[in-house]
Amino acid sequence: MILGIALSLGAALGFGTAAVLARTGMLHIGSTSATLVSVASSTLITVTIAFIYHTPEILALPAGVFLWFLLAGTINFPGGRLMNFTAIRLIGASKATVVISTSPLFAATLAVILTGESLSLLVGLGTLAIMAGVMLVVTQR
Amino acid sequence: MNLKVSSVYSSRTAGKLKPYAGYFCGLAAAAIYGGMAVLGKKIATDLASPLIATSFSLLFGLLITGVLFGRNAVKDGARATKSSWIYILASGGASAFGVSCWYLALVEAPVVIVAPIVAVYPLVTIILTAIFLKNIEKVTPKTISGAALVVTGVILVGLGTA
Repeated sequence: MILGIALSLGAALGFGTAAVLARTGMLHIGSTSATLVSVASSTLITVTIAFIYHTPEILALPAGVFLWFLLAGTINFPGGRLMNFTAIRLIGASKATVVISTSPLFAATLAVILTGESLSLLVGLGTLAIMAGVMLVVTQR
Repeated sequence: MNLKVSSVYSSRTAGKLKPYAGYFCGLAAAAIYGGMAVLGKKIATDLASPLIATSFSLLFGLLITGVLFGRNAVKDGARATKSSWIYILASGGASAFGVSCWYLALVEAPVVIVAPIVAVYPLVTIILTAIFLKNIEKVTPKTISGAALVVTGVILVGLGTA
C-alpha cells in the first residue's frame, strides 16, 4: 500500500512538473513543435517500460487491437496534447492545468451518456466544486 | 496611417482574445482527455494492459504528430535555443514518468486511494510555477483557490464513480 501511495505521488509530481517544463520550453518554441518533441520523448520511455514488463503480451496481441491504439493515439496526442500545450502557452501553466484537470468531469458525463451510469450525490457535489473552481480561475483579470 | 491603426487594433484584439483562446484550448484538452478515459477503459478492460495501450497509442500518436507538425519542428529547430528543446524533452519525460507511476500505482493500491492522490497535480504545478516561473507568470490567490476547489471536485467525482 505504501508503495502504491508513493507511486501515486510520483504520478502527481510527473504530471505537475510536465506542465512547468513545457511552459519554460515554449518561450521559444511553438506548441505544435513542442507537442511533437514531447510525444517523442514520452514514447521512447513508455515503450521501453512496456517492453521490459510485457514483451510476451505485446507479441501475442492480435492485429485488430492496433487499430484501437491508432484511434486512441490519433485523438490523444495531435489532439489532446496539442490543446494542452496551446493552453499552457496562451494562459500559463498554473491556470491551464486547473482547467485541464477537469477532465474527469467530462469522463463522468460521457459515461452517463454512453453507458447509462447513474449520477451519485458525490459526483453532483464534485461537479459543482469543479465548476466553481474553474469560474474562479477564468473570471480573474 | 490607416494600416498602422488597423495593425495596432488587430494586435490589441488578438491580445484580448488570447486568454479566451487559452481557456477554450484547456477545456478542449479536458474534453479530449475525458473522452480518452472512457475509450481507454474499454481498451484496457477488453484488449490490452493500460501500459501497452498507452505505449502503442503514443507510438501511433508520434507518427501522426510527425506527419502533421514535423515541418514546423524543423523551422523551430533553427531559431529555438538548445535549452528550450531540453525543457520540452524533459516535459515529455515527466509525462511518461507520471503515466508509468500511475499504472504501477494501480497495481499496488486500489483506485480509491490512487485517484485522489494523483488528482492533486494542479497544486504541484502551482507550487512549481510559484518557485521556478515567478518571472514568467504570476500565481494569484484566485488561481490557488480555484485549483483547490477543482482538486476537491475531481476527488469527489473520482470517489463517486469508483
